[in-house]
Amino acid sequence: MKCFAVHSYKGGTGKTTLAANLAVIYARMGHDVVLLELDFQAPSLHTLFGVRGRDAYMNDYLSESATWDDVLVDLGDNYDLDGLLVLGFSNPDVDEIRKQLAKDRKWHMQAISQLLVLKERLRAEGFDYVIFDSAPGVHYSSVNAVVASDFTVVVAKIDNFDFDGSIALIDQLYNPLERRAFMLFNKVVPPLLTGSRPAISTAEEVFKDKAEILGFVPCYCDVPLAMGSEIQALSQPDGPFATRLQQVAQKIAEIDVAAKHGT
Amino acid sequence: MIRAVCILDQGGVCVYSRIYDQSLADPQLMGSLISALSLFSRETMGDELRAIRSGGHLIIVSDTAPITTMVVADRAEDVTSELVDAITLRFLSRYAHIIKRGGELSALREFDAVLDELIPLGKTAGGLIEPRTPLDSLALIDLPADLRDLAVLLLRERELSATDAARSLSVSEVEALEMLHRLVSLGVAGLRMEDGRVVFFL
Repeated sequence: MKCFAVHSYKGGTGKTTLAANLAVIYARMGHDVVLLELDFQAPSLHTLFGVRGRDAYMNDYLSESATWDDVLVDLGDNYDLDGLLVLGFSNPDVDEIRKQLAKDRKWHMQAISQLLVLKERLRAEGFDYVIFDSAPGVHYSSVNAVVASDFTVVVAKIDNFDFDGSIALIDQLYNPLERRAFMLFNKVVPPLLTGSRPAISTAEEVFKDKAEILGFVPCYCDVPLAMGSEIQALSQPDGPFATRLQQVAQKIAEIDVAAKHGT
Repeated sequence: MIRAVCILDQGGVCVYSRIYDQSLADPQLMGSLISALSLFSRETMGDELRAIRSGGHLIIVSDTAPITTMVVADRAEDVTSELVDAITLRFLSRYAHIIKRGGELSALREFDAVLDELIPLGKTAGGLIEPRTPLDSLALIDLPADLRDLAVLLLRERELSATDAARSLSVSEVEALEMLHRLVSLGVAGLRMEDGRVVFFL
């Protein structure tokens, strides 16, 4: 089983869109996938999948007021996928988001413990991929996602904010935790990929010796035009965005995850 | 049963304490009391204060400039003079420079591990040491790298014996025990006696 967090330094990089599409791509390939939303400050996975009014959310599982059976929902049949696509949503209610922000260190310790238990359970049940859609930046929820995962896919845009921020995350968060980081550049303006602007070579130079680059996903108009209610890997599986992500998914599949004893 | 160990500086300020019995008074208060009584004993009776009995506890005091070592126990038999000397000497050999010149007192917390060596768990009150700080994911970043896998295992299991840890991490039981004690010394894990074995917990 491969377990990875989709993380970024800043918000708005497209983490949730990429995580959802990668999950669907793996499930279409026949893999059993779990996608867990760990962005408690700005939940949005429910919008993307058109799911409303769940009885239990990831917040409840981490608080030990619901079991994983209560929280996880299999949507694979809805989309006629070959593998399982199991999702755990975080609670979009503003009162719940507010409560989440007031949690103390002891709660967050319990949360990481619950996450590690769930990961182990999913491994035992034979899932192939567990993907954490994490909050941006350094919050307890995002660091918990990094700790519980085998490696991190860092989503960044081609700009100096994300370059500097991602380097800081690699040096001060992933490296101390011994978690490998893989850069995925998203929303790349096409002129930066072709012509005289050397975005690829700049990124390669900046992240040399820091992180492997998984790819560059151009800014395709189809994605914003869908207004956050369409998963391209479902609606346009042969479109350019989904095709590009299939290449990324293949690279992630090739990452060697050396199992650590006991953890 | 030993209930607390405190080290006071020459001004009577408690610079280090290890409290095994949480019902005891604040170490700073105990330190102030002992410091005042020591001064009284020295100036009016011309002798050092060696022990007092208070609230059913015996407080053993040992003055070795620049520190005063204070051990709170139930009975005189619980604390030998060798133990008090060992605590004093081990503390001075490590931290005399900090006490004399002033420095970062948080470094003294490492003395927990020395006390764990000197005082077997069965001789401390309740056979229980509570964690001082939650082992959350940010605390994990600050841990020494060699303790991180064990800490993640403890996070998942929530409580562990050295035998369980050794089996899960494929290390010897002695190594696992030593690492678990280091987590206790760092304050991110606790330990308690259960059915004659030591259980480490969050």
